[in-house]
Amino acid sequence: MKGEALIRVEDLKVWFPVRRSIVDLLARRPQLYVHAVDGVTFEIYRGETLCLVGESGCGKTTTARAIVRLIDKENIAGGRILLKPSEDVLEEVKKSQPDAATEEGYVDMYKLKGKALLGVRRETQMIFQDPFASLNPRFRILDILEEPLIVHKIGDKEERLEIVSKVLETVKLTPPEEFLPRFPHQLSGGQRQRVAIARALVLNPKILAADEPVSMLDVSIRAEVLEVLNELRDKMKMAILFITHDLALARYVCDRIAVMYLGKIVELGEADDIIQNPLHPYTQALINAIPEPEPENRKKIRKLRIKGEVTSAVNLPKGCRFRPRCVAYDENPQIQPRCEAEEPGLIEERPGHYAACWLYERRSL
Amino acid sequence: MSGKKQVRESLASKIASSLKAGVGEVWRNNMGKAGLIIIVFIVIISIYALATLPPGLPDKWKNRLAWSEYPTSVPPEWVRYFGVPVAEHKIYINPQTSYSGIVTPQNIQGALPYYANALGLKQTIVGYVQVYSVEYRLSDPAFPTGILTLFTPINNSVVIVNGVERQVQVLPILVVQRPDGLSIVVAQESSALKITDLAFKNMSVTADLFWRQYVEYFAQQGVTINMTETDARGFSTQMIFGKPLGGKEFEPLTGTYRLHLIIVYAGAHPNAIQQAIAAGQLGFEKIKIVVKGNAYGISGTDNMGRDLWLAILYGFPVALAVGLFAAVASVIIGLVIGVISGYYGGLVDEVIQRFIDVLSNIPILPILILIGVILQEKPGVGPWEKLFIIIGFLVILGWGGTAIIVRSMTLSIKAEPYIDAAKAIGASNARIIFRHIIPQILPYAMASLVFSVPGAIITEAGLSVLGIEHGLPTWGKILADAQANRGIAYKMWWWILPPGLMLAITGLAFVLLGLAIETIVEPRLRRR
Repeated sequence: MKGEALIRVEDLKVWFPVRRSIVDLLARRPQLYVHAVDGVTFEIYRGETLCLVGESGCGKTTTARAIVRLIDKENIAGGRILLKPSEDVLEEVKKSQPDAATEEGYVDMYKLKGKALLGVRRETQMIFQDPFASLNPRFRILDILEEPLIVHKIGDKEERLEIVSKVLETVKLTPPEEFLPRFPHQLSGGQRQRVAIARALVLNPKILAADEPVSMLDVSIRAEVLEVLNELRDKMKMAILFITHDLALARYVCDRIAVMYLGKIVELGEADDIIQNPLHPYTQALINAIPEPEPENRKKIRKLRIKGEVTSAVNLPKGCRFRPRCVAYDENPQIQPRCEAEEPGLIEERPGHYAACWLYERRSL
Repeated sequence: MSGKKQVRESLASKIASSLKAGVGEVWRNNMGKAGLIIIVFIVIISIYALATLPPGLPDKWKNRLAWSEYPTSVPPEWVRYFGVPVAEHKIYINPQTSYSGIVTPQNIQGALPYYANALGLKQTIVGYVQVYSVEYRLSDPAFPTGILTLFTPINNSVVIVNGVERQVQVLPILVVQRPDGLSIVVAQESSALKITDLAFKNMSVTADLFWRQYVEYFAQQGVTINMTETDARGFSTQMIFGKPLGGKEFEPLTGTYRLHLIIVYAGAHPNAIQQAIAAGQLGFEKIKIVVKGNAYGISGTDNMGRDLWLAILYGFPVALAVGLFAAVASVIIGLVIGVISGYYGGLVDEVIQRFIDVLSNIPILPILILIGVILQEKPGVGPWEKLFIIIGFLVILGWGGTAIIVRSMTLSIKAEPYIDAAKAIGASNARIIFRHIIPQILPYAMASLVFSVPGAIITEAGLSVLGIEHGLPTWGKILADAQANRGIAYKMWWWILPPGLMLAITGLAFVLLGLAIETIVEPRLRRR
């Protein structure tokens, strides 16, 4: 099912400077950074949902924000994000900013500026975690949905209303005229999140970053939002980056899963493959932590295959960044020198299934 | 689309509906209701003041001579209802002539008996005479504070007798006929004047004319008045309107007084004068006799006789203008700069914040005093210009607080996901600021605007008291004058209390309104 990659993230690094006190400045201590995203590479294909899974603080939201260019340019410490826009947008970029376009028809998100950036923004949109905060409480639904069209100068009043109504139908908020004059607080959580999705869809983007779109919703209304997202992927052939911390949900929604730990992807592969045969010790620990639906099994006390606390993203350990918490490291003394010396890259252990762990390096040798 | 009409609102109707909703919300709050009612009153009084007060009032206020018809340092008239005896302030314009004709030594006793028998008589009069008479009722045992006569003569002092021009001269004499039957000549020019020269004369009473005869008269009645000529000058109205009790004590004599203004014409044959007067070629356009009371108007007068009520009225629009202008200007500046500082952050933020730090540490008072002094030395700057220059500096030095709070609000709003969402769709900074951030801050800005109105008004008044004057008759100016004359002002509550009260009430109204808006903006403050 691999089509063309709509977005390619290449060794993306997002570092945020730690605020220095005057004492630090005077002592000339070096500027410290939070390594929120520290070398992430993946691509998403047309009509595919890629899940980014990981614990809070691992950089998955930052990755999503980087894709829609909500991260300031100066915080991008390395790598690039390449985006395949539609033909006309590409033409526009080639005309105004030829340096931002590549030969394969991609544009570099962080080289764009001004009008070219505005054009590319049409292609990539984001859905935020909290539907209660991502809609301006003072705007009516019409104002919220119309804003992207006004910003991009699309259509006149009539046409905009037409587009907005259609999009509302797409997210199953019908009849549209009943929702248009309402304020966000007059809607339920699920309805709001669908409005937020509608706002992202109004510009007809090709890439959608969904940052935990259902984590703030009641379990009972999650399904309707996920249904809408799946439909978008299948019917409109979008590339969706789906951020979640919930592996069970990821399996339901995603084609492929990327597991992140401390700013790095530690495992990447087909969703079912990862859930059933996790390779990386961290993934194994995560899957281990999924609550068991079978009541009989719950009574068994399962051993959690992880130790310690999340390491600080400011001072990363030398070698493998998961090492301080790794149970496999303790159990496999033969790989310990490697773990301490060198950071493992993604190793293709099975076709299409990658893991960043020296355990597999040994086997492939 | 059927829903289109109801969904779309024009900007104007949006503003109108949110304003309406806001006022409605304030009205439901008791404090807000009280504040709104007072403010509506203040606005109505301001409009009334602007419509009715003479445009030259600021100049008149500074002109000592313009207030000679008013009693000086007297309380308001309504003190009567609190049991204070009040001698009414009365102005008689163009009084009735009670006699006109030729007076000779033979007929004077019959024609002008009050004059013929008056105390203080200087000479017997001969010639054509007109007498204007008025009645003054002194019902309370109180002394009026003076009598004043003002003339507006017809602009002609010449009669032609047998083809020869003759200058007409007049001698005005004022006689008071007391309820006890005694008549006193209270005012008289020392010699006859050209009639047109009377335009420049305010004839006021003087005890010089009658004090000796007065003392003698009462000595015969067995009352010893113990005063010299100099003493007598200070007691003229007590002597005219009182019964001597011995020494320098007088008791007001209640009853009906008759005031006779005798105009003796000379310089031409009486018949010729009579004809000229009958023909309207000679005489007076207007004669005004003022009996100055010991109370005046709604708010009394100050030591210059100025009607304080006029300044109180004038103070309303000035206070509103000062308060609203200063508040609106400083809140708008604070809002814009605060949003810029918070939204753009970084170096811009740092520079603005440090600038505010500097600004808010500049001592405002010395600078304003300096500016006030410069303005007073500078000729050709009108009072309103001066006022607004002072307010301008108040604004320039006063927007920092708003900017700091707006900045911190902007910082928190900026972090809201819907701002990220707006950025993700490509909204410009201007759009985010004006469509997303400022509408959130606006209610707070309204509350802070309303709260800063009384501050500005009181600062303006305070500056006046400190001597930084713009020259407009305002509440602060009244207080400043009282302060300058504190030796007498301390017993004149009507000079100090009303402007103080007005300041307090105006401030209260805006504070009440501000509190009401605050409970709307910040519902946690609501108490039920």
